[in-house]
This record gives sequence, C-alpha cells and structure tokens, in this order.
Amino acid sequence: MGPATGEEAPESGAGAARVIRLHHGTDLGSANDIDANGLDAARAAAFNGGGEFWATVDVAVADMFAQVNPASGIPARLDFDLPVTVLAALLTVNPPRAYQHGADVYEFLPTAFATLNAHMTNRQVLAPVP
Amino acid sequence: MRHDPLFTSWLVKCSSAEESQRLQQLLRAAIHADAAYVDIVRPSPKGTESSATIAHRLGDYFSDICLLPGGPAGSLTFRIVYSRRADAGRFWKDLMVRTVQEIRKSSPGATTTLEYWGDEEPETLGAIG
Repeated sequence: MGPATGEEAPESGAGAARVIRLHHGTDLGSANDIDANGLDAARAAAFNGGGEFWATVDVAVADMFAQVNPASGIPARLDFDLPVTVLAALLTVNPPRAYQHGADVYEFLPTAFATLNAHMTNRQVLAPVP
Repeated sequence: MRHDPLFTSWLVKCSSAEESQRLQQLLRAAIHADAAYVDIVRPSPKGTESSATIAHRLGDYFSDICLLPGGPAGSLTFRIVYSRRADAGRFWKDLMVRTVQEIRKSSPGATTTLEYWGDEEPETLGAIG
C-alpha cells in the first residue's frame, strides 16, 4: 500500500506564507453554505453529533466522503488553503482545538471554527466530484 | 442529525481478471470482523509524545462486509458490500473509506464506483441469501 496521493502538493509557499491545501467532502448545499457563510457549530452539529469539521490533504478521500454524504445530495468538495502556522496553533493550543488523524486527516473542533473562518483562503467548491 | 444508510455497495473494476482475483484475496484477509484500523491521533502536527492510539475493530461497526461477483466468472469486476451496524459509531464511514482507499492504492488501475447507498438490502445480497 503506497503513500497518500493528491492532485497537488498539500503544502506550498515559503516561510510564514506557507499554506496547506485541505479538502472537505460533503454535499453541494453544505459546501456552498460553508463557502458563503463560513463554518457554524450549530449547522455542523446537524450533520454529526459532535459538530466537528473534518478535512484531508487527500483529494481522493475527500471525494469518497462526498459521495457518501449524509444528505444524499450532489457530491461536492470544498477546497481551501490554511496557513500552516494557524494549523499548528490549533493543534498545539491547550486544550487542542484540532487533532491530526494519521498522516492526512484533520479534525477541527467547534472551538476552532472562528479561527478557521478567519484564515481559510482560496475557497473553491467543486461539484459533482467523481 | 442526518441518517446514515445501513448498506453501501461499491463496484470495483480491475484491469484484468487476475488482478481482480488478487485484490479479492487481499481484501478477504483484511475485512474480517476482528480486523482493526489503528487511528493515531495527534494534537501536535509533528509530535508523537502525546499521541493516542485508537483501534477500531471492523466488527464493532459492521455486521458484515462481503465480496460479491460483479459479473460472470472471470469478470474484471466485483462488489464490496458494507452492512453497517445500526449502533455503529460515526467512525464507520472512515473505516469504509479507508478500505476503498486501500483498494485504489494496492491496485492503481482499479476503479471504485459507489453503486448503492440505502437502507434496503441490495438486490445483490438478496440474490445469494
């Protein structure tokens, strides 16, 4: 079994401007809502009990989650850049506001949403995804 | 809270019948009830000192995961059907996606297509029941 592959390098840029490209698989309505309004804890909780927001550096994984979205809507992917310094801060603050699962998946707790909304850039909604 | 369906079926198409057989052999060894996916959770992006290791046993999330023919004997295709336990925790979908991802990684020429996603038992299961 080989390493995770994506359509692009997960991290790019130099120095303080380095960003990581993250992908969230969902339905088109939810992707557009996050794109337009940002992350919202109450709306996230409507999708899963804990209200977390999950994203991955692996495009193929995000696409699979999009296909099995709980709304059974048009599968869509929200792509965005996040500064690596911001991600590191969310992971290391005490208590953590985010967790890394394995090498390629990030779980963001609702306490991270305000920071994410302030720092997510280059948002792009793609639908339908394969 | 959204409802997650009980049954999910993926159609796997391989580049050759031999590859299909090889992949099915690999999967049979990997999808039994006691197989576990180990999730390494880190609050720090590079650190391991405070990592938590959580083993997710497939049998705790799925009542069955079965491989079914996708066509006549010698076909390039087969199906992998996941029967989710009604009380499965939310990580069930991650486990399913990880398995499908492994198919793609171990056989880059294979394609995986979501074929069915619902609460009714797929006809492909009923046909052999």
